[in-house]
Amino acid sequence: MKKVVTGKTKGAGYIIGGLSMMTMGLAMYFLLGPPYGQSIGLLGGALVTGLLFVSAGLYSYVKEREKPVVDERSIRVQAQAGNISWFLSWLLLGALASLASLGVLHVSFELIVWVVWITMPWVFVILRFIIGRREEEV
Amino acid sequence: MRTRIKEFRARYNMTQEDLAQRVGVRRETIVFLEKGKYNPSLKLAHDVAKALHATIDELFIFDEEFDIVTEE
Repeated sequence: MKKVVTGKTKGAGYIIGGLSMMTMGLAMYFLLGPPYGQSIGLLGGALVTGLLFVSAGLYSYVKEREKPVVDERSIRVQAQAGNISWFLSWLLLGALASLASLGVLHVSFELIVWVVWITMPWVFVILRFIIGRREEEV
Repeated sequence: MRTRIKEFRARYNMTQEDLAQRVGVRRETIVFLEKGKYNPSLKLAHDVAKALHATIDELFIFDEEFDIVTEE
C-alpha cells in the first residue's frame, strides 16, 4: 500500500489532544486560583471533552488503522473551508469592533474576540461539510 | 466528464474500499470519481489507471464540449 496518512496517525493525534485537554483541565483546577482555577464546571468540561476526543481517537486508531483518512480531495476541501473561515473571522471581528467603537453595540472588545473565537471553528466544520458534498465542475 | 472506473473495478472484482486502499485515498473520493463529480490530479488519475490495469484515456472520458481542440 502507498504511504498515506491513516487512521492510526489521526487516532494518535486525537488521543494526545484529548489527554492534553484533560491534563490542562486538572492542572488549572489545582494550580490556579478563581475564576479559572477551582472551577468544577471548567474541570468537568475539560474532562468530558477530553474523554470524547480520546474515545474518537481510540476508534480511529483501532478501526481505521490502515484506512487512508487524508487525500488530495479532503485537503482541497479543508483548504477552501479554511480560507473562507479565515476571511469571515476578520470580517466579523472588524464589523463587530466597528459597531462597538461607534457605540451601536454595547459590548467589550474582549467579548467580541471570544464570540468570534468560539463561532469560527463551528463555521469551519459546517463549511467543510457543505463544500465536501458539493460537486466539482469537471 | 464520465468515468469507467466502476466497470473496470467490477472486471477485477474490486470494491471501492479495495481501490481506495490501493491508491491511498478515502473511499469517498472513489465515489466522487466514479460519479464524475471530482476532477482528480494527474497523479491520482495515473494511480487509479495503474491499479485497474488501464490507461487514463480508457478510464476518463471527456465530453466533446470540454475537449480542448488546438487548430493550426
